[in-house]
Amino acid sequence: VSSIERLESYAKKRKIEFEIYYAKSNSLQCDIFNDEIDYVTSGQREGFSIRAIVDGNIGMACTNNLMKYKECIDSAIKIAKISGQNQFSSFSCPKRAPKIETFDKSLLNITIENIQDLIGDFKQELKEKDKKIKISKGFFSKSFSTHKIINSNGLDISEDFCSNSFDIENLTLPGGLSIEAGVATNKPITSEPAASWAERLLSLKNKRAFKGVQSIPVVLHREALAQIFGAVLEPSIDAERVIDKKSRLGINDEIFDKKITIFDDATMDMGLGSYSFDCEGTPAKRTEVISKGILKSYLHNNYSSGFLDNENTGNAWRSVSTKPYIETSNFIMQAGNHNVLETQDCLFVREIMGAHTIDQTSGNFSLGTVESFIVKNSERTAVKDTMIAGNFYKMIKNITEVGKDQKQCYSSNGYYLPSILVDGINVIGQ
Amino acid sequence: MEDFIDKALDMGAEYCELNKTEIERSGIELSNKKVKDISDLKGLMYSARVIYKKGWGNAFSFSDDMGALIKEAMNNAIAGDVMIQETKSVKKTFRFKTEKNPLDYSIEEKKDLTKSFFDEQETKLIKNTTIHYSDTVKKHEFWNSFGSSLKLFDSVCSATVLTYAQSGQHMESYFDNSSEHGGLEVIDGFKDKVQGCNKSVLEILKARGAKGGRFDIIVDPGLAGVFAHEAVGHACEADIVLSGNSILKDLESTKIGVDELTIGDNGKLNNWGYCPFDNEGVLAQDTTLIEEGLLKGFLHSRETAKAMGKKPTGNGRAQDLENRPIPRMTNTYIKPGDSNFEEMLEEVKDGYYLKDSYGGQVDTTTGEFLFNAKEGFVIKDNAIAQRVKGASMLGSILKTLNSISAIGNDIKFHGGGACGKSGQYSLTGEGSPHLLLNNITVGGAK
Repeated sequence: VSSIERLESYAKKRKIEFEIYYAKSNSLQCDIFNDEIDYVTSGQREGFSIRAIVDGNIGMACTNNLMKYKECIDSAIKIAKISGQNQFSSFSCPKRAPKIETFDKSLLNITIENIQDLIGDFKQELKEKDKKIKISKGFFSKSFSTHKIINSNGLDISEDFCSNSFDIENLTLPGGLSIEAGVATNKPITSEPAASWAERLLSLKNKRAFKGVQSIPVVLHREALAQIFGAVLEPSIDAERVIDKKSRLGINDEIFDKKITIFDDATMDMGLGSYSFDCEGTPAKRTEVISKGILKSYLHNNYSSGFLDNENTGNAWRSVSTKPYIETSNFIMQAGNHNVLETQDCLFVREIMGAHTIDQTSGNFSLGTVESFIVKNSERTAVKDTMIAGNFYKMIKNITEVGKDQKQCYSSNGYYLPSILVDGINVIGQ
Repeated sequence: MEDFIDKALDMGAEYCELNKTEIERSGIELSNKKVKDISDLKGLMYSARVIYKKGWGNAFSFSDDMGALIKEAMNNAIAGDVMIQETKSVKKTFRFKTEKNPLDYSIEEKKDLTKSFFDEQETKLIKNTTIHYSDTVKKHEFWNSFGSSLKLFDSVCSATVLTYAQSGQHMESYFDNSSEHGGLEVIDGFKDKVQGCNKSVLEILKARGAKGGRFDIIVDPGLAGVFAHEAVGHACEADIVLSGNSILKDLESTKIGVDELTIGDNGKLNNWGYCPFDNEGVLAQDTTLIEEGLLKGFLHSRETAKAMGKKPTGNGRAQDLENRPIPRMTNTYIKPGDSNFEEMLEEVKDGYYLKDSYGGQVDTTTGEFLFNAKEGFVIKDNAIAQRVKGASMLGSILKTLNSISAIGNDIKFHGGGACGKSGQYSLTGEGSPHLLLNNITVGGAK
């Protein structure tokens, strides 16, 4: 009898409404230091959490010690009894879910030797651009995971995921030039991005200081936009935060410039944030979140959709040690038709420094810029010590142009955004 | 465990470490006095880390099959040129003393305590108050092939309040916390912080945005501690120095700051970064990074210490057994000077008083850093004037270390945050007195 069957059988004996969330993963990581792999780690994680509903009250307990399943279930029941009424606690009923491709099966066969070869290919292509370019610090990681949800409504489903990533913390050139670069995907990684990473690094030569305080047009590259959306927009459309009055956004509010339409779509084949069902067992959906600038839907899990009496958008995520929380799946902003990356007379910002310091509530931000350039008379000059400051909610109503460069963003998994041109941002230099 | 280590050496490992951690964690979240989440977690993890053919291999699992873990770690090792600094065998047990051990209290008692912190006097402008309680009781055991056997019985307790206020379409938030190693005594009197938080958020709701530009600023111990951590601590981590990505890499024994500036790191202090031995079994010590403006040393793991011909400093820390120990800070502090706050104010005609921080970030290669202040006040004609919001400071490490014109005689440690590096988070504490900094770039939307 498997450990999960023992768990389920004991939960049934306690005659309660229950939900078991079981997860297992195998991971492999190679650390790269000064162009060589210098550390390899691998391992397995396994564990489960159980949520119990007793007289309408919900409680949760979790462990990775599968021998302690009885203690864990008893603990969840004990917690449910003291947690206080919550009439919107419920577990999913079995429903037909779409079949979504979530990863390329060839990822399963990647070995340490394959990773060594791949790092060799990256090094070669980088050094073809400039032999002094070095991967000072980086990581290659691969993870395969399975999760399974069983509940007292008869739900019994499981799904597998696999992804790999190559993250370079410092791609460097002598003289203090460094960028962060990387790729995260559910397909095998190739060395194809190496040339563009080298070009990004080389473009930072001859950095100059930006002088004074000016309000000039700013191009936010899709990576910078993904960092900002992750810090402010995503929490503001989280229905649990709306219930708690932590977000001021209302349905049908005109939030963005009318050029903007955004979908959350878990059903996209091979998307980095795709799944057939969410972590409570709700089938995957495509939800229009922003339609021509207007907020059309929050993102929901079982609790928030019950509380607000809205359709469940299937956005519950969790780990073994957390209760289900709300997160985007694939967050897709529709591309425009403007070549924003070629904008003249602006500050171009590829990434920002300090995204976690943006005030989620008010939207106020003052951020450092990384890989930023002043573009004037067709010339791009890399700038240093340059900040941008403003308010997120004002900024997104002042979007002048939307780029046609929509792509998967590296800085936030599952974000597919174009770059934008905005007005009304303060640029602060020396 | 010693037998398994002997077996690993017999199989050809040049070095072997074994670890076991057990944790018990309770978490309670109340939103406007209603239970949002109560959870209970029990975890167990084992790991084996070896140097084999001069390459590192690590393996982890929830299973206690140490023989299998050692084999997997040895299989992972790729032949290389790894060398580490040896230390003498140490056998020692550390227990962080608690007055109110979290394991002696039921989850119901903890829930009732959390509920008692709510402020009864909230105004209508306050839309939500969320209080989060958590405690973690951890036992970590460590063995290595240098003959060391170390145990830590630790306990961490934390309460955090986050308040949201709204006036028309305008919304602001503010948070505060009490977080330390210890038991439930850590959060005694937390109700006062909740009331303070409610007061501050209402003031911020009325405040105007900060004006950007270059100013003289006074930073409080909270923000100055973040400065010590972000601007100096990270650039002193020896792995960053060795990779060539620290602006301080060639500056050892060089004057990099003002004469009055001394900065150190000490894992023995009972503050948030308490770490009596690191994840490589090296005991904590008080490490001087900057002494009277002179760069004295770096923070080391065994491997970086060997590479630089130094002694390990007890800073080889890992988030958990899955992750690699790398040089990390513990409790980083700026030594108090002799100025008092009033004397500093006398020096500022037009500037800002910035307090505490929502966090920061540093690029150690270029030396650029950014911190966002949690609270900001205008200083006008040597007096603290109106409150502003959205202020942050951007600077470069070397310039800023020479822009300090006064160091306060007060020191305060802060905790509760987790520092991120290379995808790993660790608890780090920061301590500092007030600092006066000249001609600093302040970012603001106005």
